[in-house]
Parts: sequence; C-alpha cells; structure tokens
Amino acid sequence: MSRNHSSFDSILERDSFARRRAFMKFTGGCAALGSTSVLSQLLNLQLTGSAYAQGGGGSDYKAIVCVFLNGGIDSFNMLTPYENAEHAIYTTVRSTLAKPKSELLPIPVDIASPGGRKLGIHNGMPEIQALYNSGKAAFLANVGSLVVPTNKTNYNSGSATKPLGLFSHADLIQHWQTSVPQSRSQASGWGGRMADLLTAVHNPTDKISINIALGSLNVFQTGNQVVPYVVSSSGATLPSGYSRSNTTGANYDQIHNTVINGSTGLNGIYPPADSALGALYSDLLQRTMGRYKRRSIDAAQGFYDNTDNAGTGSTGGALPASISGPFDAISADATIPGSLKGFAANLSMVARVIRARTAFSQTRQIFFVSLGGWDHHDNLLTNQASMLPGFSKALNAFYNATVQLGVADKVTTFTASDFARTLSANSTGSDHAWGGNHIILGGAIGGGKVYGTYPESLALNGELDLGRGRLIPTTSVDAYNAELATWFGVPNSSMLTDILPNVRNFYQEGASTRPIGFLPSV
Amino acid sequence: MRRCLLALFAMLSLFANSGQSGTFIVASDAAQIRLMLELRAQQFLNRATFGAKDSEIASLADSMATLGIEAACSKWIDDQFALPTTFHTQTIKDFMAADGITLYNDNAKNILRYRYHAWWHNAITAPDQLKQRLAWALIQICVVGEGGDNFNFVEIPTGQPSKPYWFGMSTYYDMLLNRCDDRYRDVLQDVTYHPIMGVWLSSIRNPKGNPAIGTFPDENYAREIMQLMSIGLNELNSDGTYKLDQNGAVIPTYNNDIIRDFARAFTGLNYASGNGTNIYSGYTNYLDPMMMTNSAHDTGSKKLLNGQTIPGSTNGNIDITGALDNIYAHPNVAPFISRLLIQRLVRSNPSKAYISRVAKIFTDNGSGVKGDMRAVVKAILVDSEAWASIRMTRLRSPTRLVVTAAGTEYGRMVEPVVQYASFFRRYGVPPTTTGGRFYLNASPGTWNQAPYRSPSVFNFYLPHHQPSGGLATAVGSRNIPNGDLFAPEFQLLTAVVSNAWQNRSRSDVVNEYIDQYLFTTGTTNTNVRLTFDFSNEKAKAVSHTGLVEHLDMVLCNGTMTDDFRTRLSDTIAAKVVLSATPTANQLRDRNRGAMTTVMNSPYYLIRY
Repeated sequence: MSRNHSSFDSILERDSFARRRAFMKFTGGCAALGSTSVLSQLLNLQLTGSAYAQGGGGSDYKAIVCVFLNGGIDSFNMLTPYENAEHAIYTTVRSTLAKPKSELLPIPVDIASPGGRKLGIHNGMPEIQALYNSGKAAFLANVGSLVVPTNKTNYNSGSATKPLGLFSHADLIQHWQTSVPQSRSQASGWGGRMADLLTAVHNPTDKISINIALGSLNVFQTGNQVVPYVVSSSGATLPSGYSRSNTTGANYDQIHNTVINGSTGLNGIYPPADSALGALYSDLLQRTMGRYKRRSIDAAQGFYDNTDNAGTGSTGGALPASISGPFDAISADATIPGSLKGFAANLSMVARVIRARTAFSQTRQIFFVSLGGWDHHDNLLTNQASMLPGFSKALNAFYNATVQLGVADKVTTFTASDFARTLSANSTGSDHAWGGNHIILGGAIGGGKVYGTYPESLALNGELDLGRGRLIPTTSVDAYNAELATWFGVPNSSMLTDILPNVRNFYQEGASTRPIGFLPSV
Repeated sequence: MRRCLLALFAMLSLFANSGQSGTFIVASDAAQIRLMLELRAQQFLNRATFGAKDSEIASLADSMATLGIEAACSKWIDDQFALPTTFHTQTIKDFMAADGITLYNDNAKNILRYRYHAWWHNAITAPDQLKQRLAWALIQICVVGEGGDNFNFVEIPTGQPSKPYWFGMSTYYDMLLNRCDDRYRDVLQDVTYHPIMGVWLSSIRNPKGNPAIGTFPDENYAREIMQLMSIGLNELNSDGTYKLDQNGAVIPTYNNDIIRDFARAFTGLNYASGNGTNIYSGYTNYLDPMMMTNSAHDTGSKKLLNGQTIPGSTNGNIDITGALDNIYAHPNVAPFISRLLIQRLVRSNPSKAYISRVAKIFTDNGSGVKGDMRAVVKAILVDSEAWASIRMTRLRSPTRLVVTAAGTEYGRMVEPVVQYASFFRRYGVPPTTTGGRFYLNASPGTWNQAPYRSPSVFNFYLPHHQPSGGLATAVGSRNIPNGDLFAPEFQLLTAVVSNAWQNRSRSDVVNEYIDQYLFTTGTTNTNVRLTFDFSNEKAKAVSHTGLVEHLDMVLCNGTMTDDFRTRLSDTIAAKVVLSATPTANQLRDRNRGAMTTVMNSPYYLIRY
C-alpha cells in the first residue's frame, strides 16, 4: 500500500497519534488469537518496521517462492526409504502403495558422504535428483505444523497444545500459511507479516506489492497492511479499454479515460489533478476510492509494461529462449497433464516478474504458486506417476530461469502442502495425515542433503505414529519458516517473533545459527 | 496537539465542501418538492432494499407527500415486515422443480448453483426486500461461509432424500430471514443451535472435557459469539465509546476463564439425527437445529459475564439458555449490534448520538422488550442522521434543488454484491429462457465478496478496517466514538478487484448482457444470457447534460458535484458529436461512455 501524498496526510502521519491509531487497528483481529502473549507480539509489528529500516535492511536482491501443493501430497512416496531394511518395512506398511526399489532414484542423505544412508526419489523426478546431486536441491523430512515440540507422550496426555483441526484440509492449509496453528481466526499469514516489515525498505515505490500471487489471494501473503498482488500466468488484470491516451480506442472508452486521466486539451478545464481519480476530494472516502482505483490501474499497467511481450526496455518483451525453452517444452509435452502445464506457466510468470524487479524497484519479492490435485484418496500410484514428472520438469525449468537471470543464489524455492498422507493404504489411496517431506531449491542452499529427520522405520505404531501412519512432525513449520525468514533478512530478534509467534518454542532468540541449516549463516 | 489536528480536520471537512454541491434546475415549486421526495425515497430504499427501483421510488414518494417523509418510511417498514418471507430453500426447490430436477443429489445439472440462483433472484425480485436485506446484514455479523466441511457436498445422507448437505447454507440463511424481525435474542438462539454454525465453529459434537486425559471443550464458538456476535472485546458505553479504567485503559469484556466456562456451557450438541445418548450418533443433518446429548454435557457450574454464575444443569439446553441470557444481558449488546447494523445499512461511521438513540431502542422498544429487531431497524433507517448524509436545499431564481453529500463521516463504500443486485434491480430484464428467473452464479464478478462465501468468521471485511491513505490517519470529529474512522468495505478493494469490478461494469454496459454458466452435458456447456435495458438512458443521451443529470439522479442519488457533471458532459459532447438526427449508435456510445465513467467514479461507489 502506498504512503500518503497530500501534505494534510503527512502532517498527521508524522504525529505520534497516528501510531496509536495503528495500534488500535490491531486490537480486534489479534485478540481473536486468544493468547495475550501472541497478541502483544503481533502488536509490536508496527514498531519493528521502523526498527528494521534503521538496521539498514540491505540492498541486495532476494526472493522466496512458496510452492503450495494443495490437497496434501503423499510425500512418503515422493521421498522414500531405500536401504534394504528400511525399504522392506516401507513395503509392508504401504502395501498396495509401495514403490519397488527399481522405481526409485537413489540419493545419499548427504552428497558429501556418497557411501552413507540412501533414500529414494520417485522415479518421475530425475530432474530433482540431478539438482540434488549437484547441490541445488535439498529435502526437509517429516515437517509439519506444531505449536510446541510434540511427541506421542505429550500428545496423548494433552500437555502439548495441538494445532486445531488436525488432519483437516482447511485447518492444516491455514496453519502452514499463518504459522499460528492454535488459532482459527488468524487473518494474516507469515509471508504477509514479513512483507509488512520489509516493504518500506525493499519496495520504496510500492508500484505493486512485493507479495505476488499466481492465481488467487491466499492467507500466506496477506499481512496487516500488505495484500498480495494477484496475477495470472498471462499477467495482471488490466482494466479493459483503458489507455493513458484519451484519444485512442473506442469513443466511449475515450470518454472514460479522459475523465479518469484528466486532460488539459479538452476545453482547458480538466487538469489531471481534477480528474475523477486524481482529485483531492475533501471527502476522505471519495478520495481513498479515487486513489485505490488510480493505483490499481497504474499497477496493472506497470506490471504489463514491465513483464509482458508488449513491454519495452531491458525487462519487457518476451523471455529469451534460454529461459522460455524448457517451459515451452513442458507446454508441448503431451504426457504432462494440463494442471502441471499451468503450474509451469505460472513459474514462467514468476521468472518474468523477477526479471522486472529493477523496474518495480523491489529488492525483495515473495511469490506464491499453488498446485492442486494431490488429495489422492485413490489411485495414488497412477496419479503421482502422471503428475510428478511435470512437477519435476517445471521446478527444473524455473531453477534454470533463475540461473539465466543471474539470480540463482538469490531465489529460494520451497514446497509446502496441507499434510502428508497415511502410510497405510485404503485400497488404492491414502488418507489425511500430518508430517511430510518437502523440496527446497536454489543456489543459496546447502543442497544435496536431507534435512530434518527421515524416520529409519516407518513401521506402524512406531514412536511417531498416531495410527495408520500419521506421523508426528519432527521438524516444525516454524523452524522451516524461520530458516527462510532469517535468510530473507529478518533479524533473529523480537522481529522474527512478531512474524512467527510460536517460533521461540523451536528456535532461540539471538541464536547465530539457523534453525535447520539448509541456508547459509551470514 | 490533538486539539490542533481536530481543528484542522474540521476546517477541511466543513469548508472544503463548499462548491461540492450538485444543482438540479426544476420547472416549478411542485417539481422541486417532488424531486426532493424522490431522492429521499431513493436514499431510503437503497438502504432498506437491494436497490431502489423507479416504481418503488414513485410509490414511496407519493406516500411521503401525504404522510411526511419519516412517517411514510415508518409505514413502509411496517408493510414490509407484514409481507410473507421468501425463504431460499423453498426458492431452490421451486426452481429445480421448474427445471424438472427432482432429486437433490442429482448433480448432472450442477445443482449447487441453485443456492446462488435463489440468493440473487430473491435479492433482485423478492417482495420482502427489507427482510432479504436484513438477512444479508445479519449473515455478516453471525458469519458462516460455505468453506465448512462438506457444506457444498451435493449428496444426501443415506435414506434422507430431503436433507441434502448442500441445503445447509440456505437453511442457515432462511433461519436469519425468519428471525430478522424477532428479538436479537432469538437470532442468537437459532444461530447457536444451527448445525452449520455448529460445524463452522466446532461447537457440534463437542463433548465435555475429560481432565484425566487432558481434554477440554472446544472454545471456538464460546469466543466468537462474544467477540463478534454480541458484545465485542471491550466494555462500551451506550454511545459506542469505550469505558475506561482509572488508568485510562479500555476494559476487556471477558477473559480466558470466562471463555472456558462458556465453552463448557455449549457442550453436548449433536445433529438432530442423534440418538440422544451418544454424541457421535446420527447422520450429518445440516438442516435441523442441533439436539442436546446430556451425557456429553458438562453439568458443573459456570462463571459467566457480569460476575454471574449459573449452577449447571443435567439438561444441557438449560445451560445454553442460561449462557445466552447471560450474554444478552450485557449492556454492550445494544451499542455493539446497533453500530454493526448501522454500518451495514447506512454509514460506516455512525456518531455517538446516532448509536445512542438506536441503542436506547435496542435496550427497550418502549414496551420493555430488548432487541426488538423491527424497532431497531426502524430506529436505524428513519433516524435524523440517516437522512443527514445528503443535504438538500431548495433555492429560487432559478428554482432548483441543491444536493450535497455530507462528507467523510456520512458515507460508506457500496458492497459489491449489493451494487450488483441494485444494478440488476434497475436494469436487469427477466430472462425468458429461464422463466424470468435470474440464474446468476455465486460471483458474477471478481469482488472478494459473494453470497455464502465469507472466507472466515471475520466476514469479508472487519468493522474496524481502515484503508491506507487519509482515512487511517485522520481524526474523526468529536461526534465519532473514540475518534477512529473506518471503511470496512475497502478491505475488498485490492488492485485486482478494483480493475476486475471496473471490467464487470464496462462489459455489462457495453455488451448489454452478461452470460452465466449453468452446466455441462458431455462437452456442451449450457449458459444463460441475462440482458440489461438501457433504453431510458439512451433516449436521454440526445442531451449530454441531460444524460449526466439523469445518471446523477438514479445512480448517485444526486451527489455528483456540478464540476464533475460539467466535465463529464463536456467530454461526452466532445467525444461523441451527434448528427442532426442522432443515430442509435451515437446515443448508445454516449451512454456507454457516461455509464462506465459514472459507475467507476467515487460518486457511485461511495454511498450516502
């Protein structure tokens, strides 16, 4: 959201009263959290924005890309046991869903020790295996939303506060995105709160939000001030018939454009400052409406100019073949389902926006790309065999794009999903569970390694199993998020706690190492 | 410092408004009065219905001429409440029957759409407009959304052909329609027992705690009924200002202990299909009020609000009654709910005096009844401040009516869904292909707002949302409780919605129709085309000033300024020059340009 422009507004903004007002604004939503400590933490967010700015912030460019796999991917078939003993247990537990070793691509849990323990990657994902082996991809094992460190004892005794609505899609999606799993009424996501903190420094012109969503609004990117800018794989929602010129296009559109843009040429009475959207209405509702509409039009136009084929300059125009080639190949591949082609097109648009970062004057960008169709209550094996190859190719094409753009070590892509699925089968599919395995991708990460704890035994009724192979996560989403947030520039201080209210249950304030370690320490 | 700012703001808001009026020249004194009454009738009907229509404006203006403005509106409200209620579940059944669909789980025709068809059709055509509008206001206070588990499940429980899951949302809406003219206590009663609410806020199949294994009742509903549906977070005076403690701090209305005891009071509810002994028994019934399973109810005493303790009963329904009575007795209910209803119906920032007057009627309708919705709604809609949003001055030489929007504190951004319904009420042509039924889908536009699609219990927007820009930092006049100015509906207006909404209106005005998808047979899609009739506007377009003045009247209630009208009409005249005998295309294009401009201007999107 842009700052105010009129002198009237700035007088008030400079006054401390404005800060009290901003404070008041938070009371309703936050009290809903039902925890006074969480409440007070989120209230601090307003103040830490300026603290962050005073810290300098950093002028380097970074982006994170959240790939959300809607429906709950069965990630224990994406990353499987491979050692003979482990694989034998896996085969027993998964029964009809087990993949034989011949259908698995082996990887060492650490490429620095090629002879050590091995896991298997789904054979539809050779590109991910190659990225892993070259140190550009990593896995995080058995991660899920937690309020506090949880085991079977404190889970069953009730002494561990549990995420609400465990095993339901809506709740667990919400938990991943808010990082406040003890609340259903949390309206902001951690990516949004992070953008609240970073916007002033890293998005000074605020032409468009630094939170850019492909497809739809989402909680993850919704902050207390920042809302995601939503674009499709073909770009922004442009106003039809709009032109900066008042003399082109249909005559009726010219009428509209003249009145909203203003015109000094028409009878000399209509300067832009008096246009319908530019006028300084004394009525603040009318004024706000004019500004919102003006800004929305300009944002879409700016997005279009800087990212689309029609644009000009170094960031406009078509993506070079070195970037678009792999995406085009996916689009042309008849074996890849439409949803995956759409996913690849969305990632291609992300590449376009990254390419336009300088035009937008953005030094941080947070992207959200979702991909549905993972709720495989049946036909798991055939469905995954159909979907994972396109998924792997699309991620690879995107990594290649970041290399071509020279930002491979500045863009970190990570996957998330509602939950993993029960290890035991229901005939041909699996049901909702909890902890699961995820992919992290990028030039900055310490790749070629499986982080977290991949259980050595997936046997039912093991120490993590809540029944049917619903595993208690051994790494919290908070640790995962804190790893990304601190790399992104959020200090491991109260600022991080503002963004991730539960994080201190998993990560000490002031700790100099990152909570998981897949991103380098500063 | 604050005093200075107040003075600065007052100067800007009062004096800057001079020259912001719109002038209507009329032929006679009688015409002057008639225009004034019509604009007043329209102002009222835009709040009390889903949008004023010419025939209804004329009839209410007639009545105003006879009875006086307030008495006529008072009578109109009485007449509306006397009308039979148009229930949405029945509308769905009627529509499906008309289309020859008899099974409520037969999804070959994509039948979930009838939920939205019924909503839009009733918003556009139902005679009991006031009730329809109130239900729409109430579902934004006692919020549910169709994202709840299986709410959109086009299936029936085994052996229950008349109780499909997907009817649940509409029965909830019907419940609000049924109760919108009773006491607000009745609203809370039925909301608490509705299975859709039970699932939405997890109060269904919520058994008493078992300390031995560390389980506790779910607190979700207990918290939200207080925070959002009755008393709010902080103690209020009857004018909506915060009560303050000796340190000048606001006073919370409840703490976690109280929530926990309310949660215990709400334990034991199950579907109406349960057997009464096992809280998990019975099929999923989203239609009928939940029933109590006493064996799963916490029978201990509960410490509730106002320091009151209820003894706890082996009959869980008695505890729930006690809990709801306890909430309802809280003095916050009157100012809290009054303010929310004023925000939905009239303006975003009601004054202390306005809240106070409505809260007084809420507390006692004059016959000792609290929360009488008929009296409360009347108090809101005919209050002197409701009219004051638009000032009308009758002047002579020439005889004219000068119309002025009263400024920031008197307006609100129109809700997109209400805007679209009002557009259909004025311009929509009953489609012959569907027997006159308006088969609109949930979201004909990208608005972040659609019937039944609230994303969370926090509604589409928060009542205290402040958009960035002047409003968030401005200080309200001393009439405004606590000094804060809000504009909830702006929370919808993302950069995407703003442009998409603009595209919706441009497309409708230019094409003169909107197509809605209905269902797919094989690979063939069936759509319905809904057309708009702008013949009146096109006829007026022979005069560029006449067209703009007309649009000011019917779309902006006269609140355009003379400056804006002049600029728009000059632009129209310059861009579409008429032939000696104007062609149909010239008149059409003038109207296209004029309407798209007006409908995307602050004068149309901010309502007074």
